[in-house]
Order: sequence, then C-alpha cells, then structure tokens
Amino acid sequence: MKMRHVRAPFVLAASLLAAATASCAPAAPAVTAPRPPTPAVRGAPALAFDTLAVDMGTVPQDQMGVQTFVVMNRGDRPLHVGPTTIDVEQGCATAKTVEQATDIQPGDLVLLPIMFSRHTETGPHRLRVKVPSNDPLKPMTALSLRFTVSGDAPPPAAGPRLQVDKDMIDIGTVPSDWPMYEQFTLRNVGTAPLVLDKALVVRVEEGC
Amino acid sequence: MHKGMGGPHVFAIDVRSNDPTQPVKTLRWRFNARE
Repeated sequence: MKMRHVRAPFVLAASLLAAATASCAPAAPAVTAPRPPTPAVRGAPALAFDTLAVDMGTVPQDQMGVQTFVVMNRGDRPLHVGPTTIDVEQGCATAKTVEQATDIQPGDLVLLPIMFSRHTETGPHRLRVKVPSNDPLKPMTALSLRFTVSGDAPPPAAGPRLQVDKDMIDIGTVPSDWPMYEQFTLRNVGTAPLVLDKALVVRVEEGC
Repeated sequence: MHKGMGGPHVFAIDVRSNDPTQPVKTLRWRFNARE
C-alpha cells in the first residue's frame, strides 16, 4: 500500500460578530474574535453555549473537518468544564473532542472543537456531546450534532479539486447578543495545486 | 450581534478557486437570532 500524501487543510474561520458588525452596524468598531456577553449570574459560575444543536447538512465521507462550540462563563465564579465525552446515537463513531477538563474564568470563553475523521458509514448521523460542569444549574449539558454522510465516491481528481468539510451549517435559534464562531475546513483532494482567491467576502442572503 | 438584529439570518461566503469543476463554492451559515 502506498503512503498517501496529505496536504495541510486551509481553515476558514469567522466570528459572526465581525461579519454582523460589518454588514449591519458600520459605525461600530470591527470585532475580530468572539467575546462573551456581560456576566449575568452572581455568586456562582454560569455555563452557556453559543448553541446547543447544530445541523451540518450533507458532508463528504472523508470529511476530516471541525465543528466548534463556544463555551462561556456568564457567572462571577470560575467555571470548571469537562471532561467532555461523545455518544453516538445514530451512525458511526469517528468524532473526537478535547478530553481534558478546563477552567473558564468569569466573563471568559473557550472553543470546544469536535473533530471528524473519515466516516465509516454513510447516511444520517446524530451525536450527543456531553459536557459536565460545576454550574449548579447545569451539572451536565448535552449538545447535539446532526449530519448526513454522502455516499458519493469522489471522481478521479485530475487537476485541482476543492473539498469542504461542510458547505452549510444551521445553528438554530440563538440569543441576538450571543457571540458565535464557525470554521470551515478547505482541502485540496486533487493532483495539482489549488489556488484560492484571497478576496473572501461575507454576503448577507437573509437578515441584516 | 446587536439589538434589532433578530430573526432568521443566512450569511454566505463565496470561495473562488481554480478548481474547474466548481470555480465558485458557496458556504452558508444559517441561524435565527432571538431578541
């Protein structure tokens, strides 16, 4: 068996705060990283996420991408989170996450990545990400991830071929003052160098 | 996000490349902001 040369993927990451500021409130200063909202709970840690459920739509079998949740401490005491585990409710188990527990200071946030390798099954998948914490009101939070693995075999790739880990993400209903973060992983699965246009512009197709 | 930005949103990013099979790949990010 030949060793396969794997090129480093290109990660396109964006904070929604930056995009929203640029498109809806041009007078406000640009923000380049998600920031947590003002602490809302006194006398205890308070766990919050940017979203509890994500639908990634249809993804390729060799997805090898990342889905990221934003974990926030909205209290005024240190928040202890983890270790995080993943249960497979439907489909195959090819996702991993950060196993170590971590502390989040009041008003801070961390990113919780869910990393995918090559899927061994096609069809619908549903994962439950379980996050324990010392939040007295949320000792265990379950995050939901849904996606469908495409069974289409990739055509022989002569020349450059762009593949993304997902081309659509739906994070459902979120508070309007919540920070959000998302990233797309772009890979070249072809046989020639892939050249990306550097001018990436966020368009607003719906909303403001 | 800010107050007054509630409701359904779809943001899109066009990734242009030299891939002859898809010179423009559109990535979409959908959410519903609750006020």
